[in-house]
This record gives sequence, structure tokens and C-alpha cells, in this order.
Amino acid sequence: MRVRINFDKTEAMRFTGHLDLYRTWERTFRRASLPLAYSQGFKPHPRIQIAAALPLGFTSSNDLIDIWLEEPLPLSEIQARLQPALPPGLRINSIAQVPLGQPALQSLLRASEYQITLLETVPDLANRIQELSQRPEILLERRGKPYNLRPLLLSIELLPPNSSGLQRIYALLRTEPSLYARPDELMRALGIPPEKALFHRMKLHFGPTP
Amino acid sequence: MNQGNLTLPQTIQEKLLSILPLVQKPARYTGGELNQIVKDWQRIAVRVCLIFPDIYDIGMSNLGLAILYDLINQREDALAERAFAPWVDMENKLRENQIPLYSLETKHPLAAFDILGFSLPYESLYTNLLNILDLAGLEIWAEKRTPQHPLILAGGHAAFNPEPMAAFIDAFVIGEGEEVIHEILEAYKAWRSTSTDRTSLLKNLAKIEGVYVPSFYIDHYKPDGTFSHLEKSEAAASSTVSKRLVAHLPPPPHRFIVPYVETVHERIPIEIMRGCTRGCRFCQAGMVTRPIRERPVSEIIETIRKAVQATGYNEVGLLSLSSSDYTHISELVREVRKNFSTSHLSISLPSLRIETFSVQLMQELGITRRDGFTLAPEAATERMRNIINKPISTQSLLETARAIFENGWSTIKLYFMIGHPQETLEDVQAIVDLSKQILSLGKKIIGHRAQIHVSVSTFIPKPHTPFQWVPCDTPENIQQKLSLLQNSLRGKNLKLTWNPPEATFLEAWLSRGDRRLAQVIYLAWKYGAKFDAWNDQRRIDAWLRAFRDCGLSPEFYTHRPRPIDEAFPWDHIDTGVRKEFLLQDYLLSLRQQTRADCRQGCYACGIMPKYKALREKGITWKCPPLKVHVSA
Repeated sequence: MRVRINFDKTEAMRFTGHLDLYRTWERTFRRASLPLAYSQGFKPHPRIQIAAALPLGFTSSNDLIDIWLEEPLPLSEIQARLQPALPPGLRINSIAQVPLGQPALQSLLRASEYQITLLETVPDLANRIQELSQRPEILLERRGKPYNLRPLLLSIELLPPNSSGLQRIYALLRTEPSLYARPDELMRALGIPPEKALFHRMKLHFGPTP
Repeated sequence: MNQGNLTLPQTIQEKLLSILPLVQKPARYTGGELNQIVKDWQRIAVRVCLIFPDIYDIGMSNLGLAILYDLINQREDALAERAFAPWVDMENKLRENQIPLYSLETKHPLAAFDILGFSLPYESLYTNLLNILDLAGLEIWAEKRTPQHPLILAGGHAAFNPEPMAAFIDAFVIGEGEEVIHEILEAYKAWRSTSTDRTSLLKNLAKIEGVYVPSFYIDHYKPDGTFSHLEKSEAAASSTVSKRLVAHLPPPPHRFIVPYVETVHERIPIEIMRGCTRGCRFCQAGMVTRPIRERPVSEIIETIRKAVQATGYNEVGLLSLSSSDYTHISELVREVRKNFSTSHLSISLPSLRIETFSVQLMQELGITRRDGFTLAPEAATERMRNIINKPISTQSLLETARAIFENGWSTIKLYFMIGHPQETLEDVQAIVDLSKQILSLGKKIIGHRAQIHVSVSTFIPKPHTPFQWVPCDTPENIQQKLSLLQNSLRGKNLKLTWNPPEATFLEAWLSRGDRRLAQVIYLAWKYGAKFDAWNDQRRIDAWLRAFRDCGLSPEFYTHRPRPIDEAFPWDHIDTGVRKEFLLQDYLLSLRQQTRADCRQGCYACGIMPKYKALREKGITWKCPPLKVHVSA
């Protein structure tokens, strides 16, 4: 049985990376006594797939993880077992069964929505965003190699400030296995040091299931 | 506690948000893990911060800390939070941004706590302890602190010689903490409701068995510079401080905090037995943790079940100093297998004896063969094995190695120790020969896949052991011995790892040191020493400069043979094992005579008469009846 969990990674886990998240889920499933299916081989691993890696320092909502169970269980039962086993940084929104043969989520991923909160006020933020969205080319560097952020930046907007008065930005970025933009790079393009911003991935966009 | 001028937790929390993205592994500094305990500060009388003075990754694997955290937090009138040494990058950020070191649970600055309890399992943490006090904005020297400051406690195996750290610590806890922690908390509460004077608190603490208040004693030396005696300066203090001991092991903790980031041991630690009867003469743990107390099999199985449920870990470490000696080891292995064989749980059982039965145990446990099989003969010649009192025969070592290879393992890890002053180059050559012999045995059985990893540590004479009179080997000898190993133990399928000799000397200076070393430790830290256990951080130059500035010589502490009638700075710490017993055992070592496992017959180390009253409550003690005397 293949089960898809829609979850949030919240503040308590902001500073954990992708592998930490994977291990945290693995332990959560063990605490919940779910009959996870294991890979064969020298060191068997439970079959778990997280849709999209989330960098250290980010929180997320509507994240997705697929798990495989050795024996079918009612979704309500899975939910009931998982709920008390969750660590402080994870929250479950919904659980659904998906066909076994569906392709891996990673391969269907197309774009990601982000909300970025600035820890220090940037007075001309609206202008910077305006200027950036009109540039025909946004040249940046990743691991020493130049690349153009322009085709990967699908949308960028200034949001109303949050309840503490901090400025916020919305961005929709392309996220395909070999073609993806990172919101911290977007911040650099705006002239904002990434450590002065809090990143939250709001939603993942997937292509159609073949 | 006056919190008027301390940084507020909210301020720390806010500042962290823009600092943490800039440091390695920031989740070391956030807290908030599963099973951490957060209590309301306004409603709790006594607030304790437990501190392991190395990084989170190491400290979170420390069982002692987990036990105390559990015990203190079970009380309604106390809370325990955690702090660790920040790694260098984080330390710089904290200092740049004037953030005091804080607790992980509630981000309170350490200075806001009532009690700071440091864990000191080994000596190379001393400079980190000073650094943490400094990062907390506290005075380093105990005498300069006032009742406004937290009470500073320290315990752990290094505290069996508390003297080098005596000037920095208000009170040491000697021995096992499970019961004494409650007495300390009660004494603290009673003191605070009636008094504000630090000395009266220390006097109350000094009355508790197992608590040592160093400021109540003055050290004296002989004209030749050797230690003479400690003079009591306070009537409430007793002339010897006996270690604390629990009559039987209480139920082990199971609700361990589960770190989000990877730590050194990702497993549930369960102590199956405390103490050891083997009497290896170099082993401090074996001497200071006597007597043997075992946990029942049912309690261990129940704890595994509860801990897996509470943590989700997939590995369990069944810990003791000598697992093979656990009386019900076969039953334990059988029960583990029966209960958990289908749950993808891996079990580790370290410290097994060198005998084919150990292979059978590992086999039954279904332990992964990927990690290799570890054997610790420590020495390769019969002569050296007799000197250190680890009398195993080469034949049984070879038989065990054969069984290991025949049962599917391809790698054997061999642990040896070099640097005992009576060890010759022939003894070291024998390590080479034996390792190669085992490799060729492996090749015969499984062919080219056979691998030998030899790990060599250097002998450090430790207080409260029969070798406390023994000098360290000279740096030249150690270098020569290491070179011999490095030149000979090479080639395909042979791997050698060793400790840098300077790491050894640092630990050796400190472990048999006296109170004069306080100034050395302080200056070494001032000159930049910290993380002394880390090969890439250790600053031997800072230490040597500190020794010079204090007019002290490191060799005095390490390379001087100590006469058998010398008074030691740690003589007032009573582990229950008599000094005469240790001396007798030392003299036996000089004649290469061994004393077998004391479960077979008592050698009168002293632990039984000293803790007679406790033994009557301790049904799990494994000391034999006192009748059998073996004369030395």
C-alpha cells in the first residue's frame, strides 16, 4: 500500500536539513508502529520518498512524502497512529492512498511557491522587486558557474507585511530535477543577505501524472 | 535569582534567527527536539542546567546526562535543561553579538540558573568548562563568584581526581549521581529559604555523602615539590570523601531526547551492568565503578520496548564494561531475539570477551557483519598481558578470530595499548606479528576479503588504579614504538590508527595533577586552548607556555616514577578500593603476576566492607562470599 502524507515542517525543525528530515520521518513511523516496507539488501531501508528536498533554514507547508506499507491499513488508522508520534517540528494535514504504479513525486515536480519574510526592513523593496522583474536577464553564480535566474523566476510579488510589521515577498520558482531556482539566490539578486530572511515553502506544483 | 541585568530569552531567540543560518549544523543550538522537557520557570523552585562541555553531537550521546535530566525533571520542584560547548564558529557568533551561552530548552542565559551541573568524564574537557563559564559571563574562579551566581557542580569519572579543577568548581559529586542529586536539590532548597550566604550552602552540601567542597581544604607540598597533604579548613568538611553508590541500579531511562541532527551514537543506550570484576590494571572505570550490579533481563527487554516506542531509534546499545560477564547474557540475547527479531532493530553488544562464545552471541543477535568484529587483547605478549592483568591466551585469540571469519565477518578490529614503561620493542613487534598472523588466518578462510584494523592507544596512568605509581613512557620511546607499528603494519588489508602522543600527555598531566595545575589550566585556556580532545583544535603550545609561566614542569606529573609511599593529591577521595590493595596489585604487576576475575574469589579490594550496609539492600551485587583469600 502506498500512502501520501501532506505535512508541514514547522519552526522547531527550521534548522534541520533534508537528511535530518528523512531520519525524523523514519523514526516517526517506527514510533507509530507502521508496518513499513523495507528495501532488500545489505542494509535494508524503509521505502520513503520525500517530494522535494527542503534546504536547512526553511520551513514548509503542504509538503509531501510517500511511504510504502507491507500490509494495508485504513487511512484513519494510519492517521491515528501517526498523530501522537509526531515530533515538535512536523504537522500532518491529510493522508491519502495513491496507486502503487504512480511515478515518483520528484519526477513530477515543476515549481515551488515561497513566502520570504525579511528580518530587517529594506526601504526600497518594492522598487527592487519591480526592477528585478523587468530585467531581461538575471545573472547569478552557483558553485562557481554562471546561470540565468530569469527563466526560473516565474513570479515575484510584494506581500503585505506580517503582524509584526516585517516585509514579505511571494515568489514562484521553477523546480525541476535539473532546472531549479533557490529562493536564497533570489534574495542575493535583490541585494538582501539570505541570513536576514526567513524562508517558507508554501506549496509544490506538479505536472500531470502520465 | 536576580535576573535584572541578564539577557532575556526572547532577545536570545530573536538574535539567533539571523545567526544560525551562518553556522554549521545549526540544529545543535536550537533545542526543541522530541522528548525535551520544558517547564514553567515561574512555578519551579530549583532550576538546573546540565552541561556537557563538548559539542552537542557528542554530549547528546552521554548516558549520564540523560539519566540526570530524567531524574531532575521527574521532580515537581525542579527543572533540568541542557547546554553544550558551542563549536568554534558559533562561539565567534555568540561573542560578536554579545549573546551569553543559553540553555536549549528555554533559551535562558546560563547565569539565570540556580545550579550548573557539568559532566566531566575525561580531562580533555577542562578548558571547555572554563570557556563555557566565560561564555556565560560568569567568573571562572570559584572564590570570585557570589551567591548571585549559579552554584557550579561537576561530576563524572575525571572528578575522581578533582584537584586540578578544584579552584573553579564549588562542589564535586564523587561517584554515582542517581541518589545524591536529590539530596543536593533538597539541601539547595533548604538553604535558599533560610540564608543567602554561599558558605552556609557549601557547608550543607559538604555534609552530604559523596559531595566534595574543595574550598574547605588547603593543599600543602613538601620541599621537593611533591604533594604533602590537604588540610581541612572547615569543621563541617570530612577528611575523606567517599564515592556515592546506589545499592542496586534503578530502572533505566527510556524517554531519550531524539536529536534532529546526526550525533555520534544514534541509538538507545541501556546499561545492562555497572562495574567490572576483571581488574585490568590500566582501567580506571574498572576500579572506580565497583561493585558489579546487574539489571534483570526482564527490565532490559521492557526498556528496549518502551524506548523504541518513545524514540523511534532503530539501534540499541547494551552497555557495560564487560558484556560477556553479565550473568544472564545468553538469556538476554535469546529474549532480545525472541522479542525484536522482526522489528528491524539492530542491537550492539560492545566489550565482549575474547572467546568463541562471543562470536556465538553476536551470531544469535543477528548483528550486522558489515561493521567488523572488535577484539581488545590490549597486549600481544603473555608478559605484557600479565603486567596489565588481562591474561588471555594467544591460542584463544586465534580460535576466536577463526570463528569470526568462519561465521561471515571479513573485518576484525584489534585494540592494542602501547606505552607501558615495562613494554619493550619486542612486545610492540609482537603486535605486528599477531595482527599479521590473524590476517593470514583470515585469508586462508575467506580469501582476499579479510581485513584487519589495528587501533593503538597510548597508556595513561590513572589515579585510583594499580598503575597510579607508574610513569608514562618517554616521548622518544612512544615515537619509536609508533614508528615501528607505522612501518610494519601496512599493506593491503591492514589498517592502523593511533592517537597522537601529545593528546595522551595532555590527559596524563591532568589526570594525576594537583591543585597547582589550576593556574596552568587557566593560562592554557587564556592562551587559546580549548577542545583539547579534538586533534585539529588541540593547542599543545598554549599548554607548554602555561606550564612555563607557572614554573611547573609537565614531566613532574607524567614521567616521574612515584615512590610507593608518596601521598597523592587524590588520596582523600575514597572509591572503596583501598590504596593498599592497589599497591599490592601494582607490586604484582612488577612480578608479572595476575589476579583472575574476582567473581571467582575475592581479593579484598575493600568495596564490600566499606559498603556493607548498602550491600544488604543490593540483591544484585556479584561479589563472591568474602571467605576466599588469595595472598599476593
